[in-house]
Amino acid sequence: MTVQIIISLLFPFLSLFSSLLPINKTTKIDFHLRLLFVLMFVTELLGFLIPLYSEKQNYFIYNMYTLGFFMICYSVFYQLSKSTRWKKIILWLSFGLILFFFYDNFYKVLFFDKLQFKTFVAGAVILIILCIQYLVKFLHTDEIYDFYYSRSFWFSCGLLLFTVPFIPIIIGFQYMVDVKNLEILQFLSKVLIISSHICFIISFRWTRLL
Amino acid sequence: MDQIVISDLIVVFVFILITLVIIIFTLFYTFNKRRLYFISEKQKSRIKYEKELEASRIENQEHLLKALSWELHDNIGQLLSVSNLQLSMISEDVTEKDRNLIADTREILSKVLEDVRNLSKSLNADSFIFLGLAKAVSFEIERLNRLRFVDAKLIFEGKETEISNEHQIILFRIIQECISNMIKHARATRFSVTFLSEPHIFTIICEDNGLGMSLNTKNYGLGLKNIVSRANMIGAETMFEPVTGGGLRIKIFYPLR
Repeated sequence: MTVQIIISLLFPFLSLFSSLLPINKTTKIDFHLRLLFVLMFVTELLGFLIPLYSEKQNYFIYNMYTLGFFMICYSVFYQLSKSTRWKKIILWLSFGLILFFFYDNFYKVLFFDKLQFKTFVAGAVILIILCIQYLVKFLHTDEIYDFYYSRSFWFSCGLLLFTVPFIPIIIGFQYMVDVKNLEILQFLSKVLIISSHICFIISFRWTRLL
Repeated sequence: MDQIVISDLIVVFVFILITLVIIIFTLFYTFNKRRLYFISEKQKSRIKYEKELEASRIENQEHLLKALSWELHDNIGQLLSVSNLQLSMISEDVTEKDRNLIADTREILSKVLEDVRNLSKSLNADSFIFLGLAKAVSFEIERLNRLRFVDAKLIFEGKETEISNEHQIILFRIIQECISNMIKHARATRFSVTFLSEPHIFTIICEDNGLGMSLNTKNYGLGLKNIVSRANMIGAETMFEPVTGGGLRIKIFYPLR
């Protein structure tokens, strides 16, 4: 077991663990966040175990994870959004991503044999838009007084920290560099995973009753 | 890993690190700035609300005092005058001994009438505006001396200053509050009010030789709190200090614009 695999398993587990500990402030997104951490941890675990105990590649696990991850994140922002217009936009964007996922995976890319790229980038761009939209709305609410203690703020922060630097890197590796060394990509993704999970852990542990 | 891969790794790692730092800094800078702006706005609106509340409280008080003043002047004053007149009419049909008694009673009634009229004047802000701050305070001082509560005096230093009617009323009410405090708590024998006029500041000093008080702000009674809040309303500052040998000195610094 390499350090990278340990990081991949440990941080989602820590996030999940911290979310399951007693919390002093419950919010309407708690269930979605716990579900997301379960998905992260199970994906990483299966991604590690499948190649170990079978002949199969683990690409399909991560391909499914991509869709699941974005859908849960969108549902979080759907819950957080107070605007009916934005709720509709989020629903349409989710529906669009699901269609794109099927088009990208089953028409263009072999679902079981290759990691998808376009679905991830499309999903990440939508996620960044939703994060920024939410944070801009957040700036104009009373919650700003205690934003350090806001779970949704730290969650959005964690998502932005992961997705924003990851998009140019993944595009760069896809188009500009002849990717022979996946190690670099993996190493960098681990740095981003750590930073985002630190935010997720903070979101559950550093809160207080308002 | 070969050398090229390591250099690529470092470049991309630095790139990511910079991106992360930029994101974190931008987020926290923007949010903190907004937070501070919200806090300052909240404070401003709280101060505004408190001022409006205080202004309406004072306005209500002025209405009440005015009503009381009218009642004293128009009702009690009239009744006393009629009583005086009736006594004058009775005095013609009584014996010499009773006439002297009636004359003494009439004299007392006249004094009461005068006091009631003075009290009515000091309660009514309209009559006060007509007199001006200095004259109104001098009436209060005269009243104190006449009632023999204390040996009171009014001192002027510097030129006469122009203060708006609304602010004069508030300054007058502050001085009345000082007098009321002194009578109720200080057990003083001497009391003075000094008007000190300087180019940019008008200072009122109320000083007594009484028991003094604890200058811990937590121990301020309603009277002193009223003084502070009224002064704050017109942008004036207050200072409470002990007098050597016993007593309290209250200074009100009113900025002249």
